[in-house]
Amino acid sequence: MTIQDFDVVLAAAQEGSAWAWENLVSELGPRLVGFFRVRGVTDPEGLAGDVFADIAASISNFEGSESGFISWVFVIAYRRMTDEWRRHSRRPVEIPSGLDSDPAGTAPSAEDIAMETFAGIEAAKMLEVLTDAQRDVINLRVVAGLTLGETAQVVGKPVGAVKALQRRGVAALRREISRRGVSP
Amino acid sequence: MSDFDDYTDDMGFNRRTDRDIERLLDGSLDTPDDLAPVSDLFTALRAEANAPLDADTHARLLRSALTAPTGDTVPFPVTARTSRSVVPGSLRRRVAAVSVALAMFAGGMTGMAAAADHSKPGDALYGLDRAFEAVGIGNGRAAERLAEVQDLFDADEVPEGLRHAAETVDSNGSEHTAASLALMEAAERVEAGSAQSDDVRVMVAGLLSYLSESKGAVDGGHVAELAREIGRPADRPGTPPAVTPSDPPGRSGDHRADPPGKPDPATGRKIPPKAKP
Repeated sequence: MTIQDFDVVLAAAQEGSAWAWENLVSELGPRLVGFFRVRGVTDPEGLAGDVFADIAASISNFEGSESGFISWVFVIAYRRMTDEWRRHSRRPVEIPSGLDSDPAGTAPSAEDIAMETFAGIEAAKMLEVLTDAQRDVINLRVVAGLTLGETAQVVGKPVGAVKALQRRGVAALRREISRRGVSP
Repeated sequence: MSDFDDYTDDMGFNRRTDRDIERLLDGSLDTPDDLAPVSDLFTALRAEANAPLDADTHARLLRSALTAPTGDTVPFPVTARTSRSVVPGSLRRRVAAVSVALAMFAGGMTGMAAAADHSKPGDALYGLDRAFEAVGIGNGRAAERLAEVQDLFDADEVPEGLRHAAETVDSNGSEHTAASLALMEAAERVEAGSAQSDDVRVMVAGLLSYLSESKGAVDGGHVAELAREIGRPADRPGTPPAVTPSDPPGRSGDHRADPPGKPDPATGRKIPPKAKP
């Protein structure tokens, strides 16, 4: 994930410039909402709004690189999410599908083919085969677009542990897809 | 698929390097072969995240950011902790020691209080920090205590973090004794390793969120309720396996090297016994 001219955008956002926040919402908003949706949060947009409010309240104190900023944003998101689970009986309630759109009349891209392959079984629900820790790591890597190091910071585990989690997660997904008989 | 097929299939996957997995996760694996189905799944998930927000959601998020109260209301003091946590503990202690020497040379007590104020439990200057606070010098605010608790959790020193939270809550008044006791018991359960570490992490994150948001106005009953959930043995099916072992006792950050029953020099309170491994 990259935010163009990050230093300029950060400085402007710290001053409260609307254009800078437009930029941050455009870059981070879809990933935050996607991250929450895949993890089964009931109101992903509402929780993403809470995260942006937290960011805005604290951004004047932030110093660091773009990577540090993204880690910081998702640490807030991760904590907001765990807090949300605690409030709502500690577990995600339901994973909405939202992944089965297939724009008609366009040549099939790799994304279209992938969406077609997984439309019937709902891609996000496939992740339910994973442990919570594996699901968090895969979600942060794939949906949020975080690097290995950023993910380790967010989940508060050493990089080696995250590597092991993502490898075991991929192996489990591969087995589950094979078991369900889905083929590309 | 037969057991033999499973076996040979897994052998194929086991030959995959960490770099392959990395490329699969960031979408740059050119020849997924046996990983093609997983690659397709990830592509579908990624497409969801790459889709731009609809106008209403975009406006809603923007409004949240632009109307949020700004200032020192930092619900998650992550930046400072992140920058501090990358410094090895021994280096941090040495830097702190040098800081205090310089402070004594330059400005006496005021400078020393400032240097000690940045120490955390387990640091050489932490007792000094609490002693200064006891006589009204230095920050000593709930936010500082909370940041120290967070630091201990970040360093995977969960039992120690819970004990520190217990001290912090207890110092708020006698009505918080139940919360403090519950936190101490949670520390013992975690130390005994009777719970799944992922569950502990989730519950601890919930506790921290509550403490952050309460900004000093802590409901002791609610803290006790949260603490009682921490480290309880898993009792529901499908609980994920533990990923990391619970924190071993006697880590470098352990500021309770003194024997149980002896008063803590900083707080004057008795040091409770450590949990049995």
